[in-house]
Amino acid sequence: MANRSASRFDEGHEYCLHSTQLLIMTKASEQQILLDNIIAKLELALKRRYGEDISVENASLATLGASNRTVLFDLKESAGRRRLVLRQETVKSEVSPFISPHDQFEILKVVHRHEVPVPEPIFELEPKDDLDLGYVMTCVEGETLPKTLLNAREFTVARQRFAAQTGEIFAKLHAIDLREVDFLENVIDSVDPLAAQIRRYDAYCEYHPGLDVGIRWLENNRPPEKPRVFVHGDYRNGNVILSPEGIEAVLDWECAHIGSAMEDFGWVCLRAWRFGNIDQPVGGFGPRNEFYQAYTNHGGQAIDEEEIHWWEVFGSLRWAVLNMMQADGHISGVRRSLPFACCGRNTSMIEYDMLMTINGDFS
Amino acid sequence: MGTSLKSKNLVPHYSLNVAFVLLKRFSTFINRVFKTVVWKQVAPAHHFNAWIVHISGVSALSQDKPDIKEILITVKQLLESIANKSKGSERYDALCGAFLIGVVDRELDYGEPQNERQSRELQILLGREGSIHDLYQQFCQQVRHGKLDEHWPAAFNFALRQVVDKVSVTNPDYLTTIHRTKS
Repeated sequence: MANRSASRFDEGHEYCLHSTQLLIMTKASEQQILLDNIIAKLELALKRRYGEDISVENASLATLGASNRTVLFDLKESAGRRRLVLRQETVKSEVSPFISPHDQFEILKVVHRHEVPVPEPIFELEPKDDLDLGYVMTCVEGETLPKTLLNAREFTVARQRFAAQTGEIFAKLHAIDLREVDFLENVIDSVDPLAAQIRRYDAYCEYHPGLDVGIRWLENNRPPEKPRVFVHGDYRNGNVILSPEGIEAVLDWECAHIGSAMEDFGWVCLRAWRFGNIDQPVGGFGPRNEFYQAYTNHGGQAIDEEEIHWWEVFGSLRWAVLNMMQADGHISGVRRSLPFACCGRNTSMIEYDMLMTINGDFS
Repeated sequence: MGTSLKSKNLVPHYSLNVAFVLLKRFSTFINRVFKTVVWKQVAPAHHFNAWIVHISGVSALSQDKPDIKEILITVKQLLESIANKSKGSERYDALCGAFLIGVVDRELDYGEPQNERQSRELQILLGREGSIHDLYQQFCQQVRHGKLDEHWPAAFNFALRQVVDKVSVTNPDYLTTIHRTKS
């Protein structure tokens, strides 16, 4: 593992964020103008690829995500109509926790080839499209809202299947040959995920005793090195499309990197992703034993529960830092949003989860 | 405003200014809501702005009624009623606004005693005096550099108590039973 990066304790605070480093446009009043502008350029980009006869219809801007703008639209061709999704990068920062849209698109191609359930990658944006960085993929029908998935009667079967299906998907992901995703080797989270989080935390120049105690615990209890695998990095309730029959697609590959297989296990079991169903560790859907068994039955490596515990503590640190990022977007004025304002104060609950997990009070 | 808030961001804010700053930040949203939902029933949005300016001034500490707590409750009730009548992002924004008003309300109640208690504990643990901001910084620095490893239980327990204090302000229902009566 690499040495700890320069911190906010070091002279000069060189890693402190400046609001101008974030280039995000989200003013609600500008959204329609923004969408119209995107559609105009998108239509031209599509005409270049599919001919003059196409048109874009039924376009809408999905709710604000952490790292990407998502535009859903119909591509109308003479042969028929396809529902597609445009993903555009919105966070540009030297401490951005997200990989580039180009790398995301490359990953989509790899995992699609390996028959992991994902939207089919269609094309990557080019400079002449004048739509910044991003890509187009197919739209997968289904539901992603965590509370709906955990409570609606129509998802009863999907809920029962979630833990085992996730184990099977993880086994498939973690078996991907690293040579196919070697461009992820230099991602900071592939080199030292803890140092990566510390660097991001320090960039916000905040002092959270709970987080620093957690960081010290993580440093003093690092698990032994294991064979490294391709990890999704953000697989959780909310980033998976479900139909009533089960998992239809895995979304949001912007945190993918190379690391311990147990990292994905720790993240999906994080208390925050249970959305109140705290007795169902796997995203609020199901128990750990079904999940672990499905993973090993499909060729996954041996489960290390002690290491998963470490990654759950790590996951709280990571989630707290992501919330600080959102709050910073609000406070700095470049991404004003009441929900993002709430994120800043929500870090306290994540710190609580972290310390209670270290203590063994939460599992 | 963003920079000055950021520099204080770690420290619980105990002055009424926080309520005013947050309320000012809500004013854009409230203005929109007033214009679209409440205007015809209550008052033009510029009246609300005038009210925000009024309570931001020195006169906010007067003995006039309603007091600051009652004002917060009133705004929170308004936001909750808007949330009940709205859908989608407007409903979500209104709920977030009500949540943040609740945070301000509880911080006015608990903030100062929490600040004083934490300051006393940190002075003992670190063996030095300073503002709560300085003490937090020193604590975090010493923990990070391993200087409190020999006093790990004390350091951990302080951090947990500080986090429980923060959650009791942010969302007290989130705490387990054992921590709910602390503040």
